[in-house]
Amino acid sequence: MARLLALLALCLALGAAPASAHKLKIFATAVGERIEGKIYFVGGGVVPGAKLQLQDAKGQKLAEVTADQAGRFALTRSGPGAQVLVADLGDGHVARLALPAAGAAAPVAGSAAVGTAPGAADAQLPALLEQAVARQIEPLRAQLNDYEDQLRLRDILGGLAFIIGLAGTAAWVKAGQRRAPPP
Amino acid sequence: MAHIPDGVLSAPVLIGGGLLAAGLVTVGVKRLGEAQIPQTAVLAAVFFVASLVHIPVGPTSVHPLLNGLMGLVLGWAAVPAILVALLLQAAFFGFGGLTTLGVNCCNIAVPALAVALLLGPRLRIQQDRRRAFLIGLAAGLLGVGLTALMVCAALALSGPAYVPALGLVLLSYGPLALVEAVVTAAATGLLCQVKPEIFAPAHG
Repeated sequence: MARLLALLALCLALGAAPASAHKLKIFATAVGERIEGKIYFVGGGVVPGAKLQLQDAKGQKLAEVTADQAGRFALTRSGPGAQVLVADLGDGHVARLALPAAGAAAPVAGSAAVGTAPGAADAQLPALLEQAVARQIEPLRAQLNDYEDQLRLRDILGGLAFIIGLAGTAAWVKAGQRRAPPP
Repeated sequence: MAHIPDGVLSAPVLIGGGLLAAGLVTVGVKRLGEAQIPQTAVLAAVFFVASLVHIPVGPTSVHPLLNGLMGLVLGWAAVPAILVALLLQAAFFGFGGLTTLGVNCCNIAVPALAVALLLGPRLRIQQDRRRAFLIGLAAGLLGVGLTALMVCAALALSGPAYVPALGLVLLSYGPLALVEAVVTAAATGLLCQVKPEIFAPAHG
């Protein structure tokens, strides 16, 4: 029993160490029409030279871009509709990132400008605002993404507890079968 | 790789894998002896956590499978252990999809069964630590090698677009197979010395 506990402790120590994982992921930020981002394995592996496709909602290919050695890429989205970025490494690793329709927030920005006298400068204001806000929240989004990528100890503990519970249930069922009188 | 995500495989492969996995799990649960439950749970837990250790290989990444060791120690009980661990990995870590659960389970459990049937009986009559080490070495190689072949088969059956990259997939499993063979061999040698009854023939 002590050996089993030691083994479990080892598992926990492994899991608690800086988490690394096995999942391909795309992270991107869009400022206006421009999309910049990176493709990577959660836990730090880079994917140099990965090919990414920009597809429309029906899965039609709109554009293709190749990531650089650090897995970074940049492209311009085509048209305002909802699009999706897909990376298929061809070996069973696939990542997708949905890009919601551009300008979804534009009406809000536009309505803010309604009260003021419309001028040439005001027409550009929503776009400038959007760019400024996007620049400001980018670090926040990156941080949020990093946080999401972290494997949390409670997930690992939850999984292990699930297995222990299942083992207990199985033992209970088997014990019941043993005690039941033979038919 | 061993955790194929949703949206990669074609429907016939998914359904076939699901049916095969369901059949194997049914047999595995039926043959699961009461005394075997604790070690099944412990190895399921080890397999669940082992997927977090990721080893970068070229443009892709692999992680320990330990299905050779599971086959040697658990026999048929390896199948339910693998299924539960895969389900938890999909739910908690997002490794592999839920639709591909059956295929992924087969890809890892069938090699474990092959190890159990081919090498398990040899180990049971084996008390010599060095011979046990060699059997463990073979189990690690066979487990990972067969998994690599089954992943390639699942991809190739799903679409010809995957065929060009299959060589790369096989290649990326090479280093893992070597590492895993050594780990499995060390574990088998140690278990054979300190707890040989773990490989008792009771595990049908």
